[in-house]
Amino acid sequence: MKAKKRLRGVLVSGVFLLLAAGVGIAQRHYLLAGASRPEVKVSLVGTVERDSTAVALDKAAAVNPGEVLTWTVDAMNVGNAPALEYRAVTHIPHGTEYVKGSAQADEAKAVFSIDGGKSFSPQPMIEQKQADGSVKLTPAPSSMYTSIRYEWANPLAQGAKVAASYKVRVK
Amino acid sequence: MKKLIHSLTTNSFVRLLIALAVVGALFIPAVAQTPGGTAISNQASATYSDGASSYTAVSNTVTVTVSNVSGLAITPDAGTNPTVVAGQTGVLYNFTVTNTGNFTDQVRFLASGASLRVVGPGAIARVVIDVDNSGTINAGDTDIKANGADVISANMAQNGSIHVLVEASINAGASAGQNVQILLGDASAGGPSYRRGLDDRGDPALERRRHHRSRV
Repeated sequence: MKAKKRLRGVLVSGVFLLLAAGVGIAQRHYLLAGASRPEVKVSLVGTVERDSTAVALDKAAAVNPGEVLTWTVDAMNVGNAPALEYRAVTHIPHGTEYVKGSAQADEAKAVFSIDGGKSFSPQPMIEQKQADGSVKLTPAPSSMYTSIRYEWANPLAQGAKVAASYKVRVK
Repeated sequence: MKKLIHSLTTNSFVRLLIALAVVGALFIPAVAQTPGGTAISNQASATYSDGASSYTAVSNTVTVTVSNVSGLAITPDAGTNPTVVAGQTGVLYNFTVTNTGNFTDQVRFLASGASLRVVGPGAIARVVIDVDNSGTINAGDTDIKANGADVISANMAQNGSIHVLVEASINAGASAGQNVQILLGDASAGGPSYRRGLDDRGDPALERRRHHRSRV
């Protein structure tokens, strides 16, 4: 009876030891993974231009049709490894239209979508019926743009910041 | 002969004015505004990798509301600018009043027909809102000439319109070549007023005046 109790005690202790070791290994793995992981924090700021001053949208009670809004996407790599192939996707909100030529970004190229972000191109094209009935591909008007993707060729280094912006007009 | 040429030129000018007003009216639906109260909401997303795994991130969401903005356009109906003779009665002029704002709005017509004015040898007999859109004045229409108090129109949806019919008579003593002008709107010029909706919270700079003109 005593021998049985002792055996049970040894078994329980063994299980605890194994568990403790497992947790330790898991923590070490986690720390190792964390050590080489990029982490990009993305924030969006919207402003409306009034009297030549940019007013933050959270301070503007409302916007009027015809007003121009500027959207800025800020990104910072707060991880401890470079972020490769960093891309930011932004949208032309419902009720607004893209202001042609307004997409700007630090060292990134901008590509545009007219299908809600399914496909992107530097110059989206649409089929347009000609007077003679034939169909010709022509550049889509910027008012059809639905999304913008900014593509950075260079990695976003640890601690680095980049910004991209564009303007829309309230319809 | 000289007088005839002058008369033709003037007539062409009048036609041109009316044509321009109608073109303006046709453009109204093309610039349809975002309805007041619409929420403009935006969020950005991002993707990146460490060479082995891919990651995604999303930004905060920013939302702002579109405000109500009033707008009215008054256009004479070019098709009903009648030719008149001295002493004629029952001459009908048709105005179209369109809500070019971005929300359902109403129009206020001032008491005692003060939103209308006649210039030249004529007199206004009756003015109504053509409630049934019949193009003629009948029992169902709203009187805005003999109205003791201001009249508020029915709700006009965004880009919706109402018609105002003006029945005028030409003075018996009117001489050939004279113009009779019927004006609707414009408080700023000291003339009759044309006011916008009761719940108007928009830009107050859009009051307009339009006229019909007939040559005797």
